[in-house]
Amino acid sequence: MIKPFKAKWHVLIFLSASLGLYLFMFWNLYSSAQQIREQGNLQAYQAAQQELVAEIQHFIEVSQQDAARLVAWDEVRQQLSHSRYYFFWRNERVKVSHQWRQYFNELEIYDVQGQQLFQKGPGDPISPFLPEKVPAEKAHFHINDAQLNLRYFLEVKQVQSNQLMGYLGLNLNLMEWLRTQAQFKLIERRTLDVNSSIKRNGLDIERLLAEPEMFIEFKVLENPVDDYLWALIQDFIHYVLLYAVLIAILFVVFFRFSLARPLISLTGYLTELKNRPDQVVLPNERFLISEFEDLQASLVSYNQALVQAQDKISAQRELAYQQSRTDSLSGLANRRAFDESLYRLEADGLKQSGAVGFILLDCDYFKAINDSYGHDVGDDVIRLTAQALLESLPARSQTFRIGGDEFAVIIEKLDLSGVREVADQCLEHLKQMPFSDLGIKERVQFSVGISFTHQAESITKLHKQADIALYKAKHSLHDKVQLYIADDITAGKTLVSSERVALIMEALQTGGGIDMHLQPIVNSDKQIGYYESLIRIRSEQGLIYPGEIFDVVNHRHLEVDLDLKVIEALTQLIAAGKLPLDTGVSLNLSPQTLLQMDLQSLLQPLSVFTKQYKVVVEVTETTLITNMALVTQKLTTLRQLGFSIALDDFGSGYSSIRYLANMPVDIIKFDMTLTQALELDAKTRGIIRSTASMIRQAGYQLVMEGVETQAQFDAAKQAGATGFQGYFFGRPQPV
Amino acid sequence: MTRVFSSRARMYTLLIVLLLFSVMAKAQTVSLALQPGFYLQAQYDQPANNDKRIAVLVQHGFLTTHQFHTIRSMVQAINDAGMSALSPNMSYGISGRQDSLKCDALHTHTLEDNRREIGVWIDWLVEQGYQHVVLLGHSSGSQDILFAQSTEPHSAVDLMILTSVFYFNGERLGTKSEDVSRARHMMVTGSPRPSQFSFLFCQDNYYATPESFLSYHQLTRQQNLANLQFVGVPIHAIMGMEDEILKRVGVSWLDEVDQTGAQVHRVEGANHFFSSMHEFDLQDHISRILNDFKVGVQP
Repeated sequence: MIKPFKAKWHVLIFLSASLGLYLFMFWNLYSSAQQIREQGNLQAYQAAQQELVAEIQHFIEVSQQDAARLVAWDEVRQQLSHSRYYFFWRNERVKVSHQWRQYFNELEIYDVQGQQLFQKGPGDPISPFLPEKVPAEKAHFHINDAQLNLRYFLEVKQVQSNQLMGYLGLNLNLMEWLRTQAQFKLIERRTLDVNSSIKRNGLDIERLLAEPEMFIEFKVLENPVDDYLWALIQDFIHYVLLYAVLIAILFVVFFRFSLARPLISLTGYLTELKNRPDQVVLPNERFLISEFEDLQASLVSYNQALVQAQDKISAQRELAYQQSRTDSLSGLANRRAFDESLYRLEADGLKQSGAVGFILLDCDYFKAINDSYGHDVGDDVIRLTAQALLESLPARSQTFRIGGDEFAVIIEKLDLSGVREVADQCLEHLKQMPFSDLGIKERVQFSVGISFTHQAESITKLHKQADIALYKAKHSLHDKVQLYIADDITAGKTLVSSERVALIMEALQTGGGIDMHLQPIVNSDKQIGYYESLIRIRSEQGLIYPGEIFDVVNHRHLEVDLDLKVIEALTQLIAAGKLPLDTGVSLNLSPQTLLQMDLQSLLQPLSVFTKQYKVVVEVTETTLITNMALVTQKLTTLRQLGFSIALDDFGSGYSSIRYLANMPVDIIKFDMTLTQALELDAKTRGIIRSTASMIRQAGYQLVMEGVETQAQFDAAKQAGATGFQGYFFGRPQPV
Repeated sequence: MTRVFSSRARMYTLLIVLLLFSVMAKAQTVSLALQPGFYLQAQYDQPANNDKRIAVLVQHGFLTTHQFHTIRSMVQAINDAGMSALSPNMSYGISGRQDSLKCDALHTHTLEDNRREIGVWIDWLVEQGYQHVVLLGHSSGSQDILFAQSTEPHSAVDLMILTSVFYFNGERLGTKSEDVSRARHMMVTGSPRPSQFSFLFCQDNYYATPESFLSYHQLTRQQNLANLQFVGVPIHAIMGMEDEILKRVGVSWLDEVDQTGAQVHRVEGANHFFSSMHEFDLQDHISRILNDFKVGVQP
């Protein structure tokens, strides 16, 4: 793939190619013109040669005529007749006579014997033009001292008798004649010269006529028209070149200011936009081309629109962020914000705060409030609680609503006592809140669990630890603020090692290690009516109890798996004949299992024993109120299969007497707190007894849990319970 | 047709005559070998009916030839009068000279040379059978025949007609006394090399030997008047009255000539060359003189 390169290189290549082509074209034209000119010059030179030959021939003709005229001249005959004064005649007369020509070098008269009429003496100078005797060659050229001369020797005869009188010798200067007499049209007269390299003396006429350029140098007369045309062509080419350069410069300037600069500016602008994507970047360039202006304006417009869109998105994201992290009901931060805060704390490693305190707070019996007074009241309770927390907690603390009525507070840079003090203040302030204004007649009570750590790695445990403490506080009637203590007995069920998790998971997958324990439920005669099955998992360190098991199961949503293994274990137990006859067994089903579509098939293995044994399915009241209609349908179906239904832990949560009339259950099991409350004041005892009476009158069997003493057994019997469960009758035992 | 003549005086002389015949008159070019390799040349014009009684030798003027228009006019008149005319070209030292001689040509000829040539031609006429020779000259030719006849008279000559006759040596004729003195000095000192002189119309460009120059300058006004006086034949002088030379030398010259015994014919309006219509005047005078002479000559 060709790598793209910048526009300026495109233009440079385009300009170079165009200019090169342009120059090549004009170089070609120039060369053609030069060839034409050279050809013209050659033809002119050849014509000049011919002209020179013609003029030499003309010279020869004129010379012959001149010589003939001189031969016919009376005075020549005069000298031949009377040579006494020949010396004077030749030197003084001849050259001033009308016969003499400018191109004559010398004239000499010879007698019949060919000797000069004037006999030179030994000291007389020798003429360079004519010899002392008539030579054999009567007509020939002679090169002497850069002169090209024609020597003629003609006989002079008597007109009357044709008798030879003597000879006329004539030396004619060809070059002088050519320079002064010839009519040249093609040769520049002043350039005529004898070829200085020629050293010979004699030269035949024919040879000179054949190759005049060998002996005569000349230059062709410049043709003013050709020269003018050539000058015009050269000027034209020069102007064309100049124009090409000017056009190239103009193009470069045009490109730079009209195209390159806008492109560079726009590229820079786009880069600026890329570097500052969230800002409105205004360009400060103005362009000559409107399209670039429009493009830049469009980019600016897009940039502004993009930034506005980004702002909107950011605002929406922020809003969504806030909303996603804000509980709409309380206005506090929600569970997600809570998790993130914990994560940040862990990531920060407590470098800034050094320690962190965690407060977990919830409303006792909030479910009952909700059920009794309606969700609107419940919501108002939440709002007032949030308000109280915000009013009582220090500014540096973070407050969350992490569940229905569950609130969490993270406090940094405060020691444990300070956290405890904050918790106390918070609880005290809650007591002051006007819950009665909401129409709630009962006292709205809160429980608080506190955890604290200096170690970052313990941050993840704070919630659980506070939860344990909260659990402890909930089960305390008076000490509603509990601090998690590391060596608490409950630590075992909260701190689940990964090894034990692996054991639990394996048991849930394979059924291995599951050990079902049975705790008897007796009647008033202490005879065992049936057993409540309780799951245990064996490990090398001993048994793993339900609290620890449920932590894993609930966390991983394995409630159905657990119930299936329990059903399987019980089925094997009964099938193995380990369950005494005339007794029965109960099992706890999670809401998730109860709501399974194929609940009937799941319980099919046990349903076959319902005719021989009493098989009780225990559900919690939470299960009932979660989906009343569906659960009612499911429970009715189970009853039709022969199962008895028990409502477990009645009184520990938000049990409403309103449900009792229509619940498809057979047995109500009072939570151990109610059983133990029978030993409290008379009023409480009276309420419990009344409740028990109502249950009994509604036709339900009543089982009280947590019977650990004879007194409690007696009180339970007096309250009308039909069944009893607790250590007083027997701990859960392996079969 | 060429004919060779021999002279009594010059036994070795060869004569070549070229005869060219015409319908009305016979015109011939006659060449006469004065010496081996040196020829004299003349035109010989005979009338249709030549009785060979009278021949007229017509001598041209200074440095010209017989082709000069005045000469031709006179020859025509002679032929018209029924007489033969011989018009030689004075050689001036040039064999067979045919052209006029320039002032700046080398002049070595002398009056004596001219006299010799005139004598040769008169002899030739006599040899042709003419009994009576008339000498007719124009300008310098008049002085040549006057000098010849006065110094070496020829017996065949019976009449002389001189036209535009003057003299050579005279300041009014262009002679510079210093030239004459210089020429004489050169001759005395023995360095007779050619030099530039002033002679007649050749002012300061007459290139001649001092011998030649002085030869002509022996003919002074008085000498010519003396020659006129001593010539033994009748002389007629035909003079143009508008002759510039006459004006320079004065009309008294005519009287002086007249006083020598010569019969002077004045032609009014005519210049030195009887140009234009005055040629007829000249011809009339010549015809009249010759006819008168012819009458007096018995066949």
